[in-house]
Amino acid sequence: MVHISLQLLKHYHGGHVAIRLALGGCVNRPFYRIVAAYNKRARDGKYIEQLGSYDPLPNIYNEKLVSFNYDRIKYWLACGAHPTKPVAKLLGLAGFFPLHPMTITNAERLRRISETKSKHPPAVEEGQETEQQPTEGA
Amino acid sequence: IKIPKSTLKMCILILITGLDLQKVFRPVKMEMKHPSYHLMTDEQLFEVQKGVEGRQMLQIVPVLPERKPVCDILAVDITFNVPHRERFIVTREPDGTLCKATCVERDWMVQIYFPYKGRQLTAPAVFEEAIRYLTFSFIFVLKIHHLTYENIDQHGNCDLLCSTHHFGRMVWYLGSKIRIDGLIIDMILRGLIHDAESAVELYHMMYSQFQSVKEATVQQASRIDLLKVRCILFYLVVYCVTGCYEILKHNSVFEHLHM
Repeated sequence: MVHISLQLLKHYHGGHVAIRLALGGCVNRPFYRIVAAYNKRARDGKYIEQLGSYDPLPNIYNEKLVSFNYDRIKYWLACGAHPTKPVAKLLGLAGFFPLHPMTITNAERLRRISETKSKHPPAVEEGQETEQQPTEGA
Repeated sequence: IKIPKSTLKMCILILITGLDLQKVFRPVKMEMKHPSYHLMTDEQLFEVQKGVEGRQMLQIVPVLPERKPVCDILAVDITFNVPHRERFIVTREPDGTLCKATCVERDWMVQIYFPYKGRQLTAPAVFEEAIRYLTFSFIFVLKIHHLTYENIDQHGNCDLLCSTHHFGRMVWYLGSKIRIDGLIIDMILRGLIHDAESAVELYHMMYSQFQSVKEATVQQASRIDLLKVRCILFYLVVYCVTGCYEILKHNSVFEHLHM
């Protein structure tokens, strides 16, 4: 009987497993781990399993590196885990999910801004294009 | 370039490789183990070295076939059980195109997430030069294989690879590029005329559809004759190119062949 209550205490009431980014790294140098953890846990606290990583700062070849363990992600999604928005966006960009609508919207907005800036000759140069601007047909 | 499946060609390649015991069993850096002592007479030692062990050390190692170049994008699949060749490594470019990563990018990514022991992220600068400092124990990439063989052919350093397990590969590669003349001449100059004859025979087997080869089989020319013809042809070509008659008249190669 003691065993059952111990296990009941360990589970959260009404919580669920989330696939989310856990922040790590140093000052002015973020690094995210893509992690399956209980919803109520601290962001950087004890997680169930690490499913990948994401480095938001571009490297010498101007690439942002992301890694996913698709096998385990499929398992956790099948178990009913909820991916958060940034994770869903990353998975969309990687091709595992369809593209997130906010990615497309942000890209369109940025494109409009850069077009208006190029039309009105700028005092500020347009170095503002980010690396993520999918075409509107995508 | 794959290993020839025909066993006869393999036999010829193994024959040509030779078995220089001094070179095969030269002191090599190995991991530290407790030494094992065997009491043998000189004859027993010679037999053991010559027989199984020597041949095993000279076995031609098959190399994976070349990958076709693919130009695609950098999310990496880090599933543990997937072989590196089938891993999904994908790039999403600023235009929005989703594509697979290039071979270079793939290797680099695999090295980042699944690092091989002793391998760095970028290859050391030694491999970029025309490989003058031949440390052939480091050869593990097809491109470098080919570069080495071509370098050897240019400089005529065939004896560097003679009696190692790279020799058969090199002969096969040069044969497929139809550039065995340098090798044959090198062998003749070193006095290995039988090896040279075997090389010519291998060449004839590889290119049996050439007219010269067909005529040779029809006439049933002897091996030494074929070798002589090959040498004459080669030096004729050289004479046509350089215009140097000395090459045709006084040549140590012809002396070796008693012509």
